[in-house]
Order: sequence, then C-alpha cells, then structure tokens
Amino acid sequence: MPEDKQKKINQKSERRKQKVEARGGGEKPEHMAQPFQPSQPSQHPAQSSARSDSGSVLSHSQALQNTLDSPLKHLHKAPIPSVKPEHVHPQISRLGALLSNFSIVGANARTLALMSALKLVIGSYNTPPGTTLSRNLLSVISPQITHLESCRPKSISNGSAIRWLKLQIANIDPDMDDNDARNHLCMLIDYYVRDRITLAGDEIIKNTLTKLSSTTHSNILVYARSSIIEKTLIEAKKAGKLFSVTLLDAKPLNEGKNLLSTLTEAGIDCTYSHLTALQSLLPNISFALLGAHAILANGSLYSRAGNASVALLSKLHNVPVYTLAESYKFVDRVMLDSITTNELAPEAFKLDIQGLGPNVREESLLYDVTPAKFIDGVISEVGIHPPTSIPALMFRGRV
Amino acid sequence: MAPNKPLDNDDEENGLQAVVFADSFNSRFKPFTATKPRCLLPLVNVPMLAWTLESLAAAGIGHVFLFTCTHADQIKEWLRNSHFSSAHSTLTVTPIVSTTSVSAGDAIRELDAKQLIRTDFVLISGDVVSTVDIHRVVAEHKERRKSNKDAIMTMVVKRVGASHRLRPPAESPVFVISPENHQLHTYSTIAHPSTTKSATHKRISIPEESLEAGELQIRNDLADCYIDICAVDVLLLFTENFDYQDLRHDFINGILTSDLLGKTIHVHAIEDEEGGYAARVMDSRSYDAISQDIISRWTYPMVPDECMPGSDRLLHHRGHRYYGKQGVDVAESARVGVCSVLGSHCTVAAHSTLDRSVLGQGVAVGENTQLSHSYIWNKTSIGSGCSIYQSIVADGVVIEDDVSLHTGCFVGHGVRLLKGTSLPPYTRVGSERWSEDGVDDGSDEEHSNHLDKKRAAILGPSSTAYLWPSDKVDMEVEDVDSSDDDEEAALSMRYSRIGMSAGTAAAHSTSSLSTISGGESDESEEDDDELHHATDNLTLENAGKVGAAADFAHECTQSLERAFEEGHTSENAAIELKTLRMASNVPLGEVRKVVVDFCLSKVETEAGEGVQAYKAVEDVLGRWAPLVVEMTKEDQTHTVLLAQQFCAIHHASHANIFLAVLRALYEYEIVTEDAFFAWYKLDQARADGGIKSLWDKSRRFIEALLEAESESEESESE
Amino acid sequence: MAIEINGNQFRGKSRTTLSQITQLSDKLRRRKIVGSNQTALETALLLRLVVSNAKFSSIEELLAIVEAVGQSLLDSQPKELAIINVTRKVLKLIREEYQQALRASNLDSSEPALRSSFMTPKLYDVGLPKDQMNDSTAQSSSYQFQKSNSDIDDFNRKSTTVMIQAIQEVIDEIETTYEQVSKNASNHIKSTDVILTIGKSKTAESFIKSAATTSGGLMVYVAENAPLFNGKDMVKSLEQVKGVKVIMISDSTIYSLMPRITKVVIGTHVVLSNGGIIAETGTYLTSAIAGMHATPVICVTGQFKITSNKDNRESGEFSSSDYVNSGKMIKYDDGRVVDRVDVGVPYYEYVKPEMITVFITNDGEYPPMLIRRLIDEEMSD
Repeated sequence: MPEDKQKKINQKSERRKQKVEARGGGEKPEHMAQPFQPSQPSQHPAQSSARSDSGSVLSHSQALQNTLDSPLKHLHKAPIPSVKPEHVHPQISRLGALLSNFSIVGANARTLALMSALKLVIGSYNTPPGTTLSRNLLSVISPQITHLESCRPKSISNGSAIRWLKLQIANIDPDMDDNDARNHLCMLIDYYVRDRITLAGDEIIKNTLTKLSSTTHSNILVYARSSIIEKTLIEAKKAGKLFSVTLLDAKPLNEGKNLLSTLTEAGIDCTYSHLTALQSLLPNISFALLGAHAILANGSLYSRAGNASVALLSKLHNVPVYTLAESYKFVDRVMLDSITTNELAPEAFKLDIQGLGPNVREESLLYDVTPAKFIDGVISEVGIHPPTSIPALMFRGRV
Repeated sequence: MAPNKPLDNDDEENGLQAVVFADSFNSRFKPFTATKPRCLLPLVNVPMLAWTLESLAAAGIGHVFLFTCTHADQIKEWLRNSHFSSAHSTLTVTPIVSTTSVSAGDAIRELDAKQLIRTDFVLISGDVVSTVDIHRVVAEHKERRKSNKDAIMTMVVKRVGASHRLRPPAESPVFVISPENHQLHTYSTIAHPSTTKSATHKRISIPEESLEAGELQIRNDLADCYIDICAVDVLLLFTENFDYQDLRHDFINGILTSDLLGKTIHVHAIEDEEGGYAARVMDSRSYDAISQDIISRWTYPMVPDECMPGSDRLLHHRGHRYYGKQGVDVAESARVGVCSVLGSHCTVAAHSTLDRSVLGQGVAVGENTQLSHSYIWNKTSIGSGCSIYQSIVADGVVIEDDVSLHTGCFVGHGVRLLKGTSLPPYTRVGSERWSEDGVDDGSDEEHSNHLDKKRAAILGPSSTAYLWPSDKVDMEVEDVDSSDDDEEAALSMRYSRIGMSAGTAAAHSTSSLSTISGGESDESEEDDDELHHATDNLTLENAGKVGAAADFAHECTQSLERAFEEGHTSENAAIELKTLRMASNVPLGEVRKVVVDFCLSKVETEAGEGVQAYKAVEDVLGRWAPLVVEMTKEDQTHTVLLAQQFCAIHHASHANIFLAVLRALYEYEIVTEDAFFAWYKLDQARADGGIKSLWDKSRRFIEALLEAESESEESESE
Repeated sequence: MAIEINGNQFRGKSRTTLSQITQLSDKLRRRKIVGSNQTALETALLLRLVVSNAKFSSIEELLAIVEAVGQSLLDSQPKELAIINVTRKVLKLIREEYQQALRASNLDSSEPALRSSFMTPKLYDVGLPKDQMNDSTAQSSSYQFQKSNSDIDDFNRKSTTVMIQAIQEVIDEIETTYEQVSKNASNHIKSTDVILTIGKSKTAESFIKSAATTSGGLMVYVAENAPLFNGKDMVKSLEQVKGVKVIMISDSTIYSLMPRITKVVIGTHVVLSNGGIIAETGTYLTSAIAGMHATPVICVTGQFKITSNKDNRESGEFSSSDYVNSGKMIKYDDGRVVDRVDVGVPYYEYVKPEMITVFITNDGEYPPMLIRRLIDEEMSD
C-alpha cells in the first residue's frame, strides 16, 4: 500500500536525517558567516601582535557602504541581536567575553572551554515542574549558544560537540531524576572531552612520531600555532627524536610567536620566519605539519588562513604535507571556496590603515580552504589516511 | 629594501669629530693583548677597530682622533694600510700616541692638553659595533645645549631584555632617568641576585634631589653602548679633576653627585629596531654575544658579508652560515651548524662538527673534531679528535690531536698545544711566560715552582707554552666599582667571561591549548630559579624590612653606644633615635626592641639578686629613664614583653634581674600598673620555656602592685 | 681586463673622480643607496663623469677603465645587479659610438672632426636590421688606424662628447622609466578588473595609477608583504587616484581572494636572462597562487633591470636573497628567544620564468622566453 510505503520512506528519511545530523551535516550555515562587533573595547592580552584600532572613525553604516562591492561583503554583516542577559548563564557570559576578545583561540581550546562552561550550566540547572529535563534543558542551552555566537561565530568543531550534546540530552530517560541526570550528562561530557580530544590527541602524537626518527634529522615546517602540533613537537623532543622546526608566522593573528617561545623553552631548535619567506626555506624541509579546524567531506582542510599557501608551495617543491586533526573535526560539509564561509579578523588584529583616506579599507580573513590534492595525509586518532578517505571513514560510522 | 637616511657628505661646517679610544685600559683579553692591541683583535674576522670606524663613517662622522697607548705602532701600521687612509675616504683618522696614559681619564686629559678638539664630539671606544644614526643623537644633543649649557654629555644606551645575552649578569647598570628631558639622575651597577650575597649590591640609592624631578624612570633594562656625545667642557672637567680615571664610575658619578658643578648628563635610549644597534665588546662574554648578533644579522647592514675593503669576502648561506669566497673545503661528512663563519681557505675534515663558531682564514680542522661556540682566528690548525667549547683561539696556533678545551679557555698567539692536552675551564695559555707588568722579576721562587708544576700537569712536560692565571689577571680591572671587595670583583669578572650564565632558565611548561594566549612572554617573568627564590620574599610589605631592619638595628645600637659613652642627655639621644627611625622608616616596635635590648644589655649582671641587682638596673634604667619613656610610651605592654623576652633569651645573665627590671620600670614610671596587668594577662607572656618561668617569678611583683593599688584606693577613699 | 683604478687615468680633477668613485662604493656598501632604479642612476651618472674625465690613448684603455670602475662598484655591493647592467650598456654604447665616429672620420680623412653625418645610433631599436649590427661588430677588431698621435688625442676627446651624450640618454631612459612603462597600461587593465599587487614597487604603482586614471576607477588589493610591510606605502600613494578603491590584505589572505582577482601586477629587482626574476620576497608566493588559479601575472620593469650576468642565479643562489635586519621579525630585546632561534629575513627571492605571463618594460612587452633574445640584441657580449 502506498501509505505504508510512504511511511516507510518517511521513516527512512527520518532516520537518515538523524544520522546526518548526528554527524554534523544538517545544520544551516548562516550563523557561520556573521562576525560580531564586540561592544566593549577589545583589550587583548596577547603581546606584540596586538594592535588597538584607533584609526577608523567610520560609522558602521559608512563602513558597510564601502564594502558593497567587496567579495567579502557577506562577512561584514551587522551584528545579530544578542540574547537577553537574564537568559545567559554567567559562565557563558564570561566565555563569550573571552571569545570575543580572542583570549581563547583555536578549535580545541574553544571546544574545551565550551564544554566546561556547558557543564557548569547543566550543573546549575533544575527542571521546572511540568516539563522533562530532556526537553527543557535544550531550551535553556540554546540561548547560551546563541549568545556565544553573537560574541564570535561558532566554530565548526563547536558545532559537532553541541550537536552531540543535544543528542545526549534528548536521549535522557525522563524518569531519571534531576541530580542523576545532571551527573550523567557531566560524565558524558567528560568522556567526550577525554575520548575525542585528550586521548585522541595522544593517539595522534603516537602516529605522528612514526614519521620522525631518532637517528636521521628531520626539519619540520609548521605554520601559526596548533595546540596538537605543539604537544606533538614537545613529546617528540622528549622521546628523543632528532628534528628541528621551521616556524612560519603571518598576520593577522601572529600566533606563531607564542608557539616559538613554547618550543624554545622545550629546547627545540627553531627557525622563525614569515610566510612570505617560505620559498627560501622549503629546500631544507623534510615535511610540513598543518593544524586543522575542520576536515571537509571532500577531504579539504579548513584551517587558519595561510595554511593553503603553505600546502600549495610545499606541493610545488615536493614536500609532504600532513595535517593533524582529531576525528571530531571531521564534518559532512563541502566548501566551494575560501570566501563563502569565513571570518574577518577582529578589531584588535585589524591591519594598520591609520592615516589613510576613505577609499581604503582593510580585509583580513582568519581561515582558508586547502584542497585535498595538496595534502598527503590526515593524521587522526584512527591512523594516517589520505584526505579523500576521510568521508568514507565517516560514512561507515567509524568516527 | 628600506634605505637608511641619505648621507649628507657636504656637511663641512659641522664636521663631526669623534674620539676613539683604541685602548680599553684593562686586561680582560690577556694573553691576546700581550702582543696585539685589543682593538685589532678580530671580531667575526674583522678587526674591532674596523667595525668601529665603519660605524662612524656610515654615520657621517668626518674626522676621528684615534687615541692609542699600548701597541700604538701596530695600530698605526694597520691604519695606514686600511681603506680609511685612502685619500678618498670620507673619514679621516688622526692617530694620537700616548705612552703615559693608563686610564681613560688620563687619555682625555692628554687630549685636552693637545687642544685639538674645539666642538662637541663623539666619544667612543675602539671596540664598539653600531648602526645608530649618530647624527640624530648629536642633533638632539646640540638642541639641548642651546637651551641648557650645562648638559654636557649624552650617553647612548640600548634597551635589551632581562635575560638577554648582552647583559652582564654581575654588574648590570641601573639608570635613573627623568622621562621628559632624558636627564640622568643616578647611575649605578647592580648585580643579579643569584650572583652575589651582599645586600649592597642588590640595591641602589637615589639622592633626594632627584626626587624633586617629578617623574622618574628606574631602568635596569638598558645596556650601555659606550657611545657618548660630549661637549668640550668634558675635557676641561677631566683636567680639573685629575683623579677621574674611569668614564663611568668616576666621571659620571662625580658629575651626578656634585652639586657645585651643576652639570647634567642625558641619555639617549634606543628602544627598538628603528633606532639601530650598538654594543661594545667589553669582555669575552660580550665578544661572544656581539659576534652572534653580527652573524645573525641584527646589526644589518654591518654584517659579515658586507664586503669591507681589505677584508675576506664572505658568502652568506642558509642558516646564517658564511663561507669565504675562495678555497673553503668542507668534507662531505662534516657538519656546519647554524650561525657559523668559515673564512677563505679553511678546511674541515671528515666527521667534524662546527656549531655557532667562527673560523678565520686558513684554518684547518682535523677529523672528528667538535667545535662549539668557539672563535678561531687566522691560520690556526686544529688536529683530529679535538673538542673545543666556548673558547677563543688566536692566530697561528697549532692544536694537536685529542686536545680538549673546556669552557672559557683562551689560547694565545703561536701557542702549541700538545697531543692529549685537556685544558680545564677558564684556562688561559700564552706563548710566553706571564708576569705582572710584563717584567719577569723571578723573585718568588716557590710560587713559580708551583706554577711550573701546574703547567707541566696541564700542558704537558715538553710544552713550550705557559699558563696565564685567569683570576689574578682579571682582578686588575677598573670598570668595576672600586669600593667592592675582592670577592665582588672576582665574581663580576667571572660572569663577564664567555660561557658563564647566571643560572639556567627553568623549563616552564607554559603550553595552553589556546593558540593565542601563550604562556609568558613578558620579560619580567622569572626565568631563573635562584632569582625566583631570591625575590620570593620581596613583596611590597617586606620591602621595608629586608636589609633595612638589620641596618637600622645596627645604626640604632651604634647611636645608643655613642650616647652612653659620651654621656649625652636623654633628650638628645631620643631625638637622634627618632631621626634614625624616620630615616629608616622602621615600625615603632623595632625601635622599642632595640632600645630595650640595648638598655638591658648594658646592665651589670654580675651583681646577683636582690638589692645589688636592683642597683645595677637602676644605674641604667634610672639614668636613661626619659629616653626609654620617650621611645616606649606608645605601647608599654609591649615594652615589658620585650624585656621579658630579652631576659629569657639571655637567661644565664639576665634571668635574675628580671624582677629588678620590673621594679625599675615601675619606679621610674616607664610602665604603668595597668600596662603591667595587661602584660601579665598576655598569652605571650606565658609562653613555654624561659618566658614562663619569668612570668611565674613576676607573680609576686604583680601581687605587690595589686596591693599597692588597693591601698592607694583605700587611702583615696578615705 | 681587470686593471687598477688610479689617479693617472683621469685628467684634471682626478681627485674628484676618484673620490666620487670611492664615495659611491661606500654608499652602496653601507646600504645608503638601495634599489635598482637608484643604483642604476647613480652608476650611470658616475660613469658619465668617468668617461668625461678619463685620459686614454686608445679605446681599449677607456673601455678598461669603465669596466674597472663598474667592477669595483659591483665588488662593494654584489647584490645590486643593476650596476652590471648599466656598465655593460655603457660599454656597448662607447664601442658603438666610437665605431660610428671612426667610420665618419675614415670616410672623410682630412678632418677628424665629427659632423652631422655622425648618427647617434638608436639605443633600443629592437628592429635594427641585422646587417647594421654585423657592421659594427666587424669593425670592432680594427681600432688602430694610421693617424698622428695628436690627431688621435683630439679625436678621442671629441668622440668623448658623443659618448657622454649617449650615456646621458641612458640616464634619461632610467629617469623616465616609470612614464614609459605606464604608457600603455590601459591596454591591459580596464575598470572592471580587480588587481592584486604586493608590497611597494614604484614601477607597479605608476602602472596601476595610469590604468586607473585612464579607466576612471579600479579596485586594487594590496598585500602587506611581511616583514617590511611596505604595502601600506603603496596604499597611500594609490588611494590618491580618483575612483580607485584600495583594500589592504594580509599575506595569508591572498590565497582566499585569488579566485576574485583578475590580474596580478608586480615589480621586480632584477630580470634574469632566462626570463626569471629576482624580486621582493612574497612574489613567489603570490605568483604560485596566481598560477594555480590561472590568473595572469604582469611584471612591470625598466629595461635597465635586465641582466645578462652569467652567474648561475637561476638556481636561486642564496646570497642574492640579501638577508636584512633580523629585528624585523623578532624584537632584539626578547632575550630568551634571541639566543636560541635562528631568524632569517630574506629580502629577495627567485621566481621562475614559467610563473610570469608578460614583462611590460619601458620599451615594449615581452614574454619571458624572449628575454634572452632581447639581451643578445641590446647588451654587449
């Protein structure tokens, strides 16, 4: 009968939709592209790379006028209205402030911070009478997420984590009492963090160390700063591997400087230069390690702006390129170019156009998309795979 | 690339003059300086004087007076052959030879006598490397002179970080500057806390007059470049004060502390890259640091491949490696590390490694040799299996196989080190016998025997070289604060040697996941365990106590001693103590303690108990009662407690007189009954041990007081 | 033919000439003069002085002197290849002019005076007929001819005047490079184009400005170009043109925006004989990204930058990268780091000929593969 069939089809598509959502594909990307104009003056703790913007006196509408013909127009959108303060948990508010002034940067850091803040939110949650935790908690958490988005566009890894959490919340047994439910959820969050980030990190380090040797010297190319790469290099040094690091840095964030001090403290030989000097350094490089924000469904790498250039030039010089990514960063999306989904550099890191006229503006992007063909291997906790194999791993439910 | 500001060569009327001291008047580079002048020693294969003269020429100086003392003919010879003597050099150099000067002060006095200098001039040492735009500094100086005739000198200093390799840890200069006009108020040197125990070397004193300046900056992050813009008056000042020997310690401190002269000194601080680079090779430590700076191109455009006429042509390669243009032969299996220089015609044999080292021209390195952080000058040959670490080896040296040089060794010109020699750290070897003042008096037989034995032990019995002592030689330095102990001088000398560092940096694990907030990069963060400990207690609250309290007690006691001995009146003594207290800013409790302790210590304790005891106490307390009253009236309870504690501590002598003390305190109205009662009730008065026994003893006294009180009440009510 | 330069080679104010040579050497060595344009100009001016003051009895002597001067300048600053280019050009001009004068005077043996029959050969006439070229080279072997000594001296002096004129033309060419290059900018760039340029190049700047002025409006992206960040200067001068919208971007953003860029305009330091260039660091990155996106790369340059130097620059020899002040990357006072980190700030880098689409020079447009031909025709052996 057609109705039965229809029902079956509906069920099937429902199930499929759920699966897809669980993997992080179904979410609408519109919130991604909106940057937040922070209302408080950004006082950035980062040292010499920070710059206070005192030159631009254009009002927002004027600035908007300027951008009408820019390909990055969609990234200049006006800020979305934020959530009413009474709905925002103080921890979330604090996290939002830290995000918007770029004190917490990097996929792992942001996910960790988000998870710990949400744990606190859950910890202080009490189900009001007449509703169940599994439904009501979701409606408490949503405004928190919205608030965070108004501080800084959601990171893709955050997206995966939040989807996972919502699924866990939805699956809470309605009969469980509040206390147990809270503890259970917090425990699940701890496991998530432990499994998908910490332990995954350890596995990645182990896998990466197989590329290094204690007897032959390698020169590793690294760009900007990735938390997992930093850990890997320090562990490699402890494990007695023989290597030196060439570290490249670029605006707008100049994150490499901090990695530089950490590595030198650990006693690693470093060469520090700028992204533009890459060509002169490549003949000496054994392989390149890139950090990742997300691995896309076609194997492309979505990461800090500049990584694509590093990968491109490395390929031209036949230098192998590996990217280190925990599996929670694998997403079921495709980006056709680097512009449609991106983020503009925030106020504190804008380029210096002081003293220049109204015809001038500056634009700096924070991310770019590296095509899969430039990447030789994705090192994750499940092993080292060519980037095009990643979606297969995901589809088969391995990750 | 960004060009420097264009030179104006036609600036004839203001022909800028400079005075270069080719002699540093110290002997930190012996034995190299025994045969060669210090300024001609090579720094990255170019004589130091050449760097200095290039720096001046590039900065637009027109005329240089080169002041030479030791080995003047060598300097003149070199000068004659250099490109500075060519007719078309923009810089003319006039050598001045002096045979009698032994210090910078003498040199300046001679200059003044010769009357060669009429205008403001640049005073610089012959071992300075600089890319500073001196014209600008001079212009600033002249501008300042227009409005203030007393601004006689401008010092050029450069900002360096706290743990920077250029900073001498044992005596880093502290500048107290007023920021609006860059005037220098105090100049002093301070030692890194981990290098010295003495409190005086960790503190500086600022004269009161400077505090009137309004805003002061106290800066310990500036390194002295030894480039000074001087007014002509400076010459005169030296002539007038013929005890001025050293430019920094004598002259600057002299000017700053002298009110009569009323002259001022100013400072030009280079805060960042735009201002240029300037540093002076003062000792082997800075020799190492500046060599590395030049190789790493911080001193651009004064870099090893700069093609200075007459110097070896070097080619720059990846990793700041420089190879001579001709005849460099490095074996396939040899490894040349980063920041290394190999002059022309160098050869490095198989399996050898070079790490941050400089080889002059024609140096041959054998197989399996490790060179690290070392400086080898021309035409030296090094055998196989050697290891040379953080050392300087001069020209024409032959080092045979299996020799090892540990940290900080100097090997002089023409020495031959025999096979298997191992030089302990900080050894100096010369090809001639060392003697003070170069005169072999042969008087101290025993001493020279001892030296010979040592020499045979280290250098081998058939060696033709001699050991030069590093400590004794180092001691005769005049750049160190002359009021130091010998120990201090040795300490600072030690730290001024290559390879010495003030403690190792603690490996902080500052990694955080967040990619931007990276650990500490603020310079003030402690990077030294010892430093950390040393400053652990140095909080704002404690600041007054550390050192100050101890000093005050000492001062106070001294003052009381004087008062007692000379029989001052109580009032005078009290006034003196009060002034002392205000000056040291010590809390009252301290004062009381000192006074009570002192008085009690002055009591004749042999007298035993009873009446005699009381008499003894009365002698002291009675005589000085007003003083004690004055100093202790704020808190009498505390006074009694202090007395008790003192007696308890000095149990043997004072336990017996405690009662007498109490009585005297009462009789002379130093302490009231209420205070006594309050004291009696204190927990501290009942603390275990000696204190408790004294407390027990005083029971009778308290009871007596109570009785007396009730009696007087009764009598009042009657 | 390396000879020593000394006072005897110059007449009259020999001290001035020698001191000028020394001064220019020093300025080059101490980096007071930087960049192809400035270097070429100063070298040409000096060579003009040298030629006018030189004492020579045969043309070989004069050539030797000029070559020696050029060599000594190059020795003091091997990284400024414009010196060689100008020297070679001047040498070629001297030979040519001398030949012309010789021919003119040979035809008319009574007077060695130079008449209007003397033609100043066109310096950059690429289309010069082959036979004329052959003509001058055929004559090159016989410099000596039967004239009395005084006549020779007289002749030499007078031909000097013409040589100086020729050198003056070189100077003029260098000075007018910018206008000449930008002349036909509007042929290549229209108002709908979106241009990308990096750092600061005066040639590129005038090129873009000319295009913008003609077309009445243009959108230009300027990459900052670390570590010198001279992109800002470029922006400052570009924004003055009416209708130009300038956007400054960081180097890391170039890749993301490349799909929206229609043309890339770059300047250069030196053009090599294989069509490759040595340009400011950052050029390779931009060219590689442009190549990946099939965006044309226009290199604007004066012809004095084209060098035929036989050194193997194609391999990207390190020295030519000219590492500048490390302080641009890390602050010197960051003590902990300074000691342990190797900081390199290369100023120039090599870009392969395949990455350049066209060279637009002050005298014509050439694809990279034709540069070698151009050199053969323009410069002496």
